[in-house]
Amino acid sequence: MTRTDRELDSEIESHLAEATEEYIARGLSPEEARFAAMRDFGGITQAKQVHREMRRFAWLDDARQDIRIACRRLTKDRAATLISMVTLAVGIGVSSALFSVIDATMLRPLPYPNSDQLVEVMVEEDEPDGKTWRPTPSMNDMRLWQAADDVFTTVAGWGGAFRGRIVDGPQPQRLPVQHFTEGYLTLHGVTPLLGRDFVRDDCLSGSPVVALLGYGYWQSEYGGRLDVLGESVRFDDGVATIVGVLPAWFNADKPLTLPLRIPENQVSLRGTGRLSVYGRLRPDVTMEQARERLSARMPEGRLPNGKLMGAVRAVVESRLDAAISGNRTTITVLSGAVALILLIACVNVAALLLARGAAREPELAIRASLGAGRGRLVRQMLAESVVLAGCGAALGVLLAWASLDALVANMPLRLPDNSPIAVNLAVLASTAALLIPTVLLFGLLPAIRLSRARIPPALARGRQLGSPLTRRGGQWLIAAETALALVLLAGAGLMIRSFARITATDLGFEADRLITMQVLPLDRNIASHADYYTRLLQQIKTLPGISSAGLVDYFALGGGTSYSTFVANGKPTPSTQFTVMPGYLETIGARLRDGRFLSETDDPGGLRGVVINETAAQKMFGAGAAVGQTFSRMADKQPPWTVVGVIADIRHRGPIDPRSQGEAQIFFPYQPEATDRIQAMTIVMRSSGNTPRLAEQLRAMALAVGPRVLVESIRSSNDLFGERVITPKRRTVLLTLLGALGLALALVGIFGMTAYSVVRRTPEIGVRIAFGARAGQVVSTILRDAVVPIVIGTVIGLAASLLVTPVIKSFLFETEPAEPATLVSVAAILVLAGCLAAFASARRAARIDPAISLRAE
Amino acid sequence: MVPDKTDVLYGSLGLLVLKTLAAIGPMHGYRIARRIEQISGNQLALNQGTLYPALMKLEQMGWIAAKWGESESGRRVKIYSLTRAGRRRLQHEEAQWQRASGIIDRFFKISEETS
Repeated sequence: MTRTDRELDSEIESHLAEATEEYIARGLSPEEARFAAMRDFGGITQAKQVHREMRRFAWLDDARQDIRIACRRLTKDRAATLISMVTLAVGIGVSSALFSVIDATMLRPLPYPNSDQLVEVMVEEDEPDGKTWRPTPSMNDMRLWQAADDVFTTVAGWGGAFRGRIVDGPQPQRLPVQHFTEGYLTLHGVTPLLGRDFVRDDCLSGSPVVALLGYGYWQSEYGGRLDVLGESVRFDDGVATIVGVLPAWFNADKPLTLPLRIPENQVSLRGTGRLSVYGRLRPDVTMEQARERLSARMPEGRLPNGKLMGAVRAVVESRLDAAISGNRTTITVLSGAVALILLIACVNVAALLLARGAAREPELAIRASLGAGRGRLVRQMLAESVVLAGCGAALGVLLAWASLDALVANMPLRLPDNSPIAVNLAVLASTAALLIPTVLLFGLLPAIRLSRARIPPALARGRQLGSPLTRRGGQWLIAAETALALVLLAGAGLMIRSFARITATDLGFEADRLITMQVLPLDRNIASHADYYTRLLQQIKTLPGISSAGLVDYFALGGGTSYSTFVANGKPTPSTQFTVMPGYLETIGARLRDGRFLSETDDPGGLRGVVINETAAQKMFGAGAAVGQTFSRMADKQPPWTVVGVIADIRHRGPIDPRSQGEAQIFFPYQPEATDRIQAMTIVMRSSGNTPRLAEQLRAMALAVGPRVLVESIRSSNDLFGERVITPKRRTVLLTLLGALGLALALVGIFGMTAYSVVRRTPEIGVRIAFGARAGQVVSTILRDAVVPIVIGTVIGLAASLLVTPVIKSFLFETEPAEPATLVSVAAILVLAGCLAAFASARRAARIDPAISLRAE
Repeated sequence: MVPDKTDVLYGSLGLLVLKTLAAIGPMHGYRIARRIEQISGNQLALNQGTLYPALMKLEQMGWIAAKWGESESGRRVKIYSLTRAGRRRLQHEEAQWQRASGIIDRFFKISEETS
């Protein structure tokens, strides 16, 4: 029962009491009087019913009428409506897209049941020097934790195969492979689509090898056949029996999953990098309790000589936290940028509504004076905003939906494995929730302001509006937009500046126009590899357009490294090591500082010559000349190596990785025995740049030279460089896009406000032109109204930028968040663009024909 | 119900309420009902219950205002008064009504002349 219902009841009760009293006074008995009163009243329930219905219809009628009027008004003013709607659609579209990303990456990065119970379990050891380190756990550690059923319900291990596995067939293929132990699927609440999960026996060395197929691989390679169980997957070095197929949503990017096995003699070894351990906590156990209970059980570590090692602890960390924390800064920055865009969009629409509303002031004043309540006027104007926002939101969601795939593919984020990003119900709900403040922001304020329209000022002034408040208000809006846009542009400018520095970084070699081909002969006789590579290199050098070629195990920019420790003059020096064939360093354009590059006679059986970089020379031999000096691999019985040349440092990991700097590097001559049998070498060529169909030629050549060969990739150095800097690149592109959107919206706003200012002041301008004002004077008067707030907004925006840009400090490469040159240039761009937008709009003032504008008075 | 009493004309109740409030000033629901009956010389059979939806409608239109008060006998009642918009409305309706009834009058005169 509503308040109105109760009030009506009480009112009717009073009515009947009054009537009864009157009848009693006329001489009726109380009962008769009450009856007469009720008779006069008619049906009480009926009266209430009618009352209620009328109430409802009144509300519905009003709402329907408001929306009808709003739609009519909006369609009448088509240009303004279109601009507002597109503006809102952009604002809401980017917000929805961002919500989708936040939803997948931050709200449910682990789409498994009770994901808050999922933890990673690690080992932490105290070192003699007081530091701690976290080696990857040993198999024994995991078995110990699996036994702790007072802490976990399930514990399982996993490890990725660094190089994948080569699957045999007419066309051998290297596939990424996932390894995990029994319990891994249970832990994540996954059951195989077909077949069975791994069991403990599958993970023991010596038992038959089994495999789970990924859904995509099952579909593409096995046609989704149901009788695939029991068939074999043939690797170039073994066979596995298919025992199951994983569901489509789980680890879709992994074609094959094999049981994780650790050789029997390594089960107590920590720090192998091959095992990570996940657990599911019992519901009644906290992280802290788990840490304490497990640590108490960790056996004391002993060194091979029997000495006690430092303390060993178990570390338990929430996987949810870990998944979220890596993306937090990026999400914060993106949210900020998107919020700014939405704000600019709101200011834009508010400005348009105000501008149009001001033109309606006389009408509103008349309606107010005719008795329309202020609430009713506000409601009617709000209806317009609601219709606008509704259409804008619908368009925006469409926009988000259409652009999401492209956006997701270019997100500078670590995307969750099994939580796809999509516009879902949660996203739609957030968008709807966002609409409320949006409508309030751009709709209610103008509505309230306009509803204050009073007859005397608004009507008396008639058409020559120009109430100072509106003009000032418009200027405020321009200033606000400019300030918001500047913050966005400052972010974009800094990112661009920083990215320019990344690409301009001296890598220590000429990364332009290099072509790389990773190729591996599938010959079990590893000694024959050298012959294969030598013959292939010779052939490649004959290709037109190839000026030189060389070979390396890990190409700079390609990712991957190997380390070792070397001893020179009794001093150990850790260093990155490369295996190259003569010609590699020349091909990539390494800069020789001293001595010479490698030659054919430097091979391990011959001179045993190596080239080292300046850092290695400095670390191993100090300031003296390194050429001619010797060193050995630690704990290696072979004769020492002789330095024959020193080159400038190469930024092997690309420009951004801090480890790229000051890294000791040693380039050894190629020896097949020292390499892993399934490690493909990379052939690096310098091309003239004009080599169409080069990739096909190379592939054919690589296959023709050897009997059975796996060509893994043919890439240009530009692609590889792009991959090395992909995250900053994506960040830069994204923030630049958002900055450009912000700028575009702000310019639309400035243009619109100025256009409105021209319309509003048409009579005044007409008079001035009639009195001989020149076009330039008229335009500059209008222009001044826009330029002053643009400048003020820019100054405010600069100040705000200084406060805000430190957020992206971690994104910037050798660039300060407050870099004056960048801030000043974006400010200049903004002021210039803003003034141009205002000018484009103000120009129309000069075309006002006084005869027409004055007649309209 | 007394047979020869006239039912309140549909839609005219609002006008009667406005006129009553204009003539006598603020009063509560029962008083308004009695007043309309009295002025009509008890010729109008007002179904008093229908008064309340009508009052609400008038209030929604902003022609009358209501506030809680006390009746002469001390009961809690809603007291209705005419607003400025209501007064204008009344003038407008009155003029309309007079024009309409004038026209109808003339028709009746014509029919008298011809009969």
